[in-house]
Amino acid sequence: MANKTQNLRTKWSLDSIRTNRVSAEALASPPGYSSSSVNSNAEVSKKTDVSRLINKKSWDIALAPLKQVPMNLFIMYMAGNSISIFPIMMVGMLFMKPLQAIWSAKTTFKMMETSNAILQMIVYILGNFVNIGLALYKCHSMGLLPTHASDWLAFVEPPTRLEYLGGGMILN
Amino acid sequence: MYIPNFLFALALLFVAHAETSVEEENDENNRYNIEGRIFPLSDYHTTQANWQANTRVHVNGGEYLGFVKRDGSFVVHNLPAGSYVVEVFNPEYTFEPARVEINSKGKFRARKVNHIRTSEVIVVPYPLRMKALGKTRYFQVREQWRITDLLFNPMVMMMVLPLLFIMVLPKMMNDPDTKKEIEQIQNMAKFELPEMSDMVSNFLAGSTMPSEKSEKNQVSASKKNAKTRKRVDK
Amino acid sequence: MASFQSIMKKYPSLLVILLNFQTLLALYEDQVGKFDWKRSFIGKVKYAHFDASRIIVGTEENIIASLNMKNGNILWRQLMENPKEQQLMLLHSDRDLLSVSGTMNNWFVRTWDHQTGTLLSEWTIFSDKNIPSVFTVEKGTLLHIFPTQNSHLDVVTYNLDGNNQKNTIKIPAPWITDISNCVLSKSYYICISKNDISGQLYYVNILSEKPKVYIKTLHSVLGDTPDLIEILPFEDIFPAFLLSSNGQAKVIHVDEDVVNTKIFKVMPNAVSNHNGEKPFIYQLEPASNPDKLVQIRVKDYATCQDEMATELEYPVGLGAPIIIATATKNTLTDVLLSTTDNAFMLVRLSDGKIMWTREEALSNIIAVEFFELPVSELDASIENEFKASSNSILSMLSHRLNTQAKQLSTLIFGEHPMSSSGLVRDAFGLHKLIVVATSVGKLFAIDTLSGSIVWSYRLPNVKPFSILGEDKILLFAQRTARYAPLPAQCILIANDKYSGNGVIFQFDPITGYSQKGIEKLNYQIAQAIHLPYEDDQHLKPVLMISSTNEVYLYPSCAMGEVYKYTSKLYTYLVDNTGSFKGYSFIHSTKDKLKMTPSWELQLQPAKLVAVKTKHPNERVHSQGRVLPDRSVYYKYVNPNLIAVATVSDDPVHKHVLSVYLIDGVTGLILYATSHKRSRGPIHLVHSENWIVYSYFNERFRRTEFAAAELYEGHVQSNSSVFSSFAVSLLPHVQTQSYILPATPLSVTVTLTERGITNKFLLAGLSGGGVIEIPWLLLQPRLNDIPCSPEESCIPYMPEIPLPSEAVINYNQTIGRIDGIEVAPARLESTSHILVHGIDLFYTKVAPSKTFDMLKEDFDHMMIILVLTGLVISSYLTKYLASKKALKQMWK
Repeated sequence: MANKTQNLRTKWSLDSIRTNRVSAEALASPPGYSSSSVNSNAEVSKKTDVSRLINKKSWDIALAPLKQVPMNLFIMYMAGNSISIFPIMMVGMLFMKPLQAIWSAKTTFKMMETSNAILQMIVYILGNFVNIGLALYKCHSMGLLPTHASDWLAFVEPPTRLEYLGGGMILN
Repeated sequence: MYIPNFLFALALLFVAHAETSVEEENDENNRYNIEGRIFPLSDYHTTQANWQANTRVHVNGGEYLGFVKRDGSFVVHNLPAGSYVVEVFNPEYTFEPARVEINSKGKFRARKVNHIRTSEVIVVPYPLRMKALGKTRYFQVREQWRITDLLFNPMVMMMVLPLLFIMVLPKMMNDPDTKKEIEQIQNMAKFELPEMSDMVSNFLAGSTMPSEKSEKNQVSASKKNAKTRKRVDK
Repeated sequence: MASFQSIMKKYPSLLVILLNFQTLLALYEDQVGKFDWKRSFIGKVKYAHFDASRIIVGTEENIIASLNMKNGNILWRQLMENPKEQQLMLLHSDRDLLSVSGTMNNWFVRTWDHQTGTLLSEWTIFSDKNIPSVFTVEKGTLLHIFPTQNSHLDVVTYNLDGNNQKNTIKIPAPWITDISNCVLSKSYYICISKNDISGQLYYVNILSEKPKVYIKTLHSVLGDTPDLIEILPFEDIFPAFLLSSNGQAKVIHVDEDVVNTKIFKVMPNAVSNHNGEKPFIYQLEPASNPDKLVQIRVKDYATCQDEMATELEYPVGLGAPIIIATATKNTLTDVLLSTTDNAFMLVRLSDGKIMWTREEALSNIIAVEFFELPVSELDASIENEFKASSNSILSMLSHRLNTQAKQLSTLIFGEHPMSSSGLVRDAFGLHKLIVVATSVGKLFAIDTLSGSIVWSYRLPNVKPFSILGEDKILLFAQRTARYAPLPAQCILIANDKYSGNGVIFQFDPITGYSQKGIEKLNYQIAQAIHLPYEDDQHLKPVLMISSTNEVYLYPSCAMGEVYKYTSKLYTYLVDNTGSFKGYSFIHSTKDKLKMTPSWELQLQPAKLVAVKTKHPNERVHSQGRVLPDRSVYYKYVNPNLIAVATVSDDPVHKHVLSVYLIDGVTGLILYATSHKRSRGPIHLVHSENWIVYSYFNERFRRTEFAAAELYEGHVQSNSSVFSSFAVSLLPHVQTQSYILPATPLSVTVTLTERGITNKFLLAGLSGGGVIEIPWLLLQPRLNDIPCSPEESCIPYMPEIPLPSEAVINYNQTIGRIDGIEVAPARLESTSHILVHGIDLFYTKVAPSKTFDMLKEDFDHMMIILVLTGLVISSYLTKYLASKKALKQMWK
């Protein structure tokens, strides 16, 4: 059955994808082209390209949190200051993402394969801290941070009394 | 001065006659009596046969007491001149209190009780007619859970109905009969409009009708052929 | 001040919220009777009449009632005026029931229907004579007799057949020397001139056309007796009386000129019974059989032969009985007995069986204390596991295995009968025992779950103290039942009836057993203080201050423990003139406690109306009030504060009410205010950092509530300790007043264990209902803070709404509410409430709804069904989805 279909296919269809192996010797190389020099150039540019690319990439990753800041600001502004499900979800997200990013900072930078990404890591972590700071500020404006005395009121112990009073009206 | 006394005397005629308290208005002590009548709700006689014994009349918070006779009338004796709040208490029914003022000359005036604007006078007929305001509600009704609470909740409707649509519509799409019907409807819809426009243009331009008609026939014939062909294929 | 209408216009939505606020806290109809009960009482029976299958009684509480003869239940009851002002003088049962009740100058004559208790007619009698008088009904006329000593008899007769015609007769009677030597029998007024044999007997028939006074010598009537003679009334169909001497009495008939002395001797408490076949005399005497206490002897009236003597199964612990009424039907005779401790019982004479007893002492309760029950044996054994004294692992293991085996056996084989005796603590500590002391000196213990009496104890010759016109007995819980095997201990302090010295009674509140019985002291008690310090036996000692300022400690062996705290102990004494004296105990020695005066305060001459301190077990949970700007306004909670209210007369303002807040340790007056033209009755509630008092405003003729709350400010001066001596600034006081559209008879505040729940004020109203008013409604609103539901603040309403859903005793009206007692339950959300007056009502109140318990109609079934449904459907859809995916892969 499979053979039949395959035969049918070869009969009727034009398969442009199938490549015929064209040998490299059949075609002459264009004038001024020497294969060896290309290799050496590529190696050099590869090295520099690769390190530069890696650097660039690592800086990209390091600056990503800072780029998130304006978007977070906008999200915060849109979410509003009331205590309901949407703002809380937003704040939670704003909190959790940088925290998770900080925890997995090492694995993110492991991808880079170079040992000298310390500066980028520091910048990355700082960027995440800025995001956490934003989330804290949002909490503060929603009134969730226990900064006032009234937040600790439930833990205040009643004062012990130094004197005990008894007595009342004379009974007779 | 005469009018209230006249009314007072008239009121005596409507009050039960076994009262001899009227003559007890001792002028030396200047003691007066507050009289009135309680009108129960119409279902009294079926639910509480003995409501007269359970109803108490308190004047000034229990300083003076009155008891209710079988016909619903009551008299509170022995009151000096002054201002009194008359309340009627019954475990099943609520009554509105009234304020009765007796001045030193023996004139009675009954008005509604208003603790906030104490000088407001809304006169109420004297002898007092205490009507039951209604059955006293002591209890809260338990919240019943009904299935409609769940179904008609807007959140539920917003989530469940689209879900149903999403689930049901593809099934409908897959069914061949419905597919055919939908196609027919679509075809019908397609046919309708050009026919209409054709008819209108034919109507407006009268002379070119036969050729157009033939053209139309040709078109419809070819379309019919296409339909039959489709049916054969299937 | 904004008017009521304008406030209402501003906040229509808030008005709806407010009116619904209290409805949300009401009962549900199916909760009725689940955790509340009511007991009705009538008071000490004075008069009783038998009527078909009913007994009509008139009591000393100015109440007439009809009781079912079979079980003693109340069929109907009519509460007349306050017994402190008016007393029941006569109850006569004929065609109608006639009652005469009143005070010295003013009586109400009312006729009632026997069957339903409805009023048939009412009229009043006036008199300007200020002498005690007697009433009787004879031949259809009501006789009102005023015996004027050494002068004459004024008799006013009223014709009872319709027109109440009045007729006055004056009989000169200079022979009346002492009213206690005179009796009224039928229409004869009989007196003896002297209490010994040399005296003379005078009598006159009031209703005869020409009243003539007959004189006989006692010697001719009685013969020769050297003892003192007493004249006593005797109910009979002929005019008769008893002359008793030396514990024996003789029945004497009078009929115009004839004085007929019966030969036989009877007891002074004899009564006659003429409605059987033969007339009999019934008398109570001590039983010959020492097991039974009392016996009734029946004598034939005519011959005075002893017919029979029936021994009664008289319960031990009841007071001495007297016969109130007797009735004979066929061969059965019923006798109604009333005892000295206000109990009322019906005895069936053929076998001496007591058919039913009514403990009417409970109609006059003056002290209440709630006690926790001990844990069940099973729970105690679990707790004992952790108290194992030996530390070796092996013994602990064996102990553990032992108790587990026991628990397993009880689980399998059912409960051990001992533990199901009923008096054990339940899961939430809601099963408690209420110990109640009554004014006749009888103690009762009532079970909170069923309302039945667990035990009762009669204290003979004990009289309550009288404070501010009210009777009071002190009850202190020295040790609770938590420290098994040590028994719980409660102490009762009262006065001795005869000597006026103090009396202590120590007992175990769970069983009622007292080891030492009543201990009489040899000094008068001025005050007693219950100390909060426990000694090694977990007993809290009681300090007693005598009227000579001597201090005694009970138990005296706790001296060593108390000596440690003498520098911290202070006391104050107030006398009726408004003079306050504060004392300290600094100069006490190891062996003897000594009181030294520390401050003295004399208020303006006024009548002291209320002196209230906070409940000693009250805890304040939150130390301040949270303001909208998230700062805290700290409360000024002074545990040593005394709230005092006085009423004085003033020529201009009629009555002036003054309220003071005095620190009891230093004598400093922290707050004082006065209300002009306000009179009592004043009800004062003092709790946490506020006071609420109710008074009657004479200017507007309405009852008002005023609330005052004390605050320290925005900074707490000392958050760890509180000392009355360390007051640097006077507290800020916020006040507000409200109108109450009803008359309160008693006001209290709910109390919980930790003070977290909202507080409710419970006001017992004159209509018989107890209404709960949330403290949030009465809390003074702060001026600069906007009040809205977000701040959990209800906007100010001048008139306190009293919706009928807020009545905690729904339609069980309680007559003449005397007091409301509150006790915290072990659950934070609930408090126990006992309302006492003529009736007794118990319920549980949850001011913030039962937030620490699942609600009763919690739909367990629904949740289980939904959960199982969801689990099943999820598994089903998983299966179906996998099947569909498989199908798709085959396509």
